Amino acid sequence: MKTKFGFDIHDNRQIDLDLEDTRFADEVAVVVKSWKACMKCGACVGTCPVGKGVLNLTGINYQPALTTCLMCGKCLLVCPRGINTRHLILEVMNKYREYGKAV
Amino acid sequence: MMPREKPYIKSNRQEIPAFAGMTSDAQPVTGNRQPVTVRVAVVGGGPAGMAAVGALAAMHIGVDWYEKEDRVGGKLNNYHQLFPDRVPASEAFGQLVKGTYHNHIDRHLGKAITSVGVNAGRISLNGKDHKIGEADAVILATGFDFFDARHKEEFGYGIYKHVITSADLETVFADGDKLLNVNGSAPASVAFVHCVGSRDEQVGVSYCSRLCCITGIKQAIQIRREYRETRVYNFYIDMRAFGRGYEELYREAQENHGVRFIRGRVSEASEDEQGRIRVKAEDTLMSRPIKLTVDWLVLLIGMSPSCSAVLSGKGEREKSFTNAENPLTGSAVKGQPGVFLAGCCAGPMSIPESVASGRSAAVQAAEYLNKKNGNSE
Ligand SMILES: Cc1cc2nc3c(=O)[nH]c(=O)nc-3n(C[C@H](O)[C@H](O)[C@H](O)COP(=O)(O)OP(=O)(O)OC[C@H]3O[C@@H](n4cnc5c(N)ncnc54)[C@H](O)[C@@H]3O)c2cc1C
Ligand code: SF4
Ligand code: SF4
Ligand code: SF4
Repeated sequence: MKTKFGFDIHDNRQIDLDLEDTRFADEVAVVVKSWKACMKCGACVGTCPVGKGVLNLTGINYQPALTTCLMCGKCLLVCPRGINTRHLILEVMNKYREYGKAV
Repeated sequence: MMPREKPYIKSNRQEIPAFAGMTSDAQPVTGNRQPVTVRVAVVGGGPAGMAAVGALAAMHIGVDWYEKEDRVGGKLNNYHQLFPDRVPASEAFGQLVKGTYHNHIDRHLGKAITSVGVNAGRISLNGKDHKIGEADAVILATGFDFFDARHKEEFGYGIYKHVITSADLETVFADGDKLLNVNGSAPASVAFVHCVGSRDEQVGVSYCSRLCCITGIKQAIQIRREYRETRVYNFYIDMRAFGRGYEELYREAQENHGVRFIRGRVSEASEDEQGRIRVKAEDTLMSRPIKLTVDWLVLLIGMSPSCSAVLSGKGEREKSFTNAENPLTGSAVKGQPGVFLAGCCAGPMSIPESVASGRSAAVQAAEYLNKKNGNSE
């Protein structure tokens, strides 16, 4: 956003762990336990035909990107931690619906 | 160990005769042969085995030394220079093997032990279909196997010519071969993939092989030393440079050699029309996907267990290293009194660690024999 003073105002880039709400993640992890084992290696993103991968899709802030997932399962084949990524993506979608958010 | 096949790399290797000291009549043997009452068998002739044999010899204990290949040295035979100090592998071999020339040592080359049986304090060592020998105590130093990179099909080892493993690259350096691109000139770029066959549930391996990070650093530097113009990239998940001088070598790779370290796992590799290798990954710190074309892709392969089969006598390969009964205090094998582990058959370790482990196993075997024969104080 451009202000009349000539400054740009951006969203706060800092991640404030003090205010973190993990309820959503915890609920998903009840169903797909292996999600917690993600080591953020990025292999799923590297292989994803739409450039997303589970890493980018399942954080609550990335919600709009969920619609671009093709459900191709390539991320499932490369994940070194053996996470059932397709199940995970579906579960995140389910949870969004439950929370009354558009997917 | 057989020289590994590298049909695509022009070899300058001269046929190296088996190490001259290895034939029984050519050794500078030291020590008087005294009547020895107990004998220890050491299985495996790598760094751990050589260290164990040397320590036993120094304690005047008789040793039967079994090695399945026609020369001792283990993996060391195919390495170039060792991290972190770039000591030539041949020099390390010379230092270790020196201690094994002793009158109390009987070498049995070309003898693979497939099972070990403990019976009333005597231990039998067996080959495929016959007994090979007997001993009062046994040190297993059967080392590790290189992870078979063909199991990670997405990286294309064995499919694309310009995808090689770190073990292949060691022999390229050791033989003085060139690592040229498809047009026969110096490579423009080379990439290393960390954690191939380690930390990967897709191939059923959960552990970290510990030494591939530092191997990747060492080899990246070596490429930059030989080809000043070549860009070198290391794709890692976590950098694990844990040993003496390792972190310093990591820094040296960045500062003095301009090696690029990228945090992100390579997800797949493919060959382009010219035979170069196209790599896909993500820079997880930048949150952006990466595309890169390289002349060579080097897979930093992990260590797979090799001796559980020997122990269990099943002849099957189990996907785990052999556990000591109490790893905190020693390397005795559970349920097999008189059997001790040395070196990488107990888990991934470096050469100095394997040597220390071999010497430690020798002391444990000596203590065990002392106690058994009522010599304990
Ligand atoms: C690519 C790569 C590079 C490395 N570079 C370095 C380095 O620069 N510096 C460093 O410190 N470490 C390095 N390491 C680690 C090093 O290879 C090990 O620490 C070392 O080889 C372990 O020694 P070992 O004696 O336990 O096993 P090995 O070297 O594997 O030796 C085992 C021996 O036992 C024999 N054997 C196996 N089974 C039997 C059987 N059933 N009967 C009879 N004999 C048998 C084998 O033929 C072999 O000779 C590297 C590892 C890799 C993968
Ligand atoms: S399943 Fe979705 S997130 Fe995974 S690789 Fe395919 S498109 Fe990308
Ligand atoms: S591949 Fe698996 S471990 Fe790696 S970032 Fe994606 S989900 Fe996490
Ligand atoms: S040492 Fe490095 S490359 Fe090897 S398994 Fe561990 S983290 Fe991966």
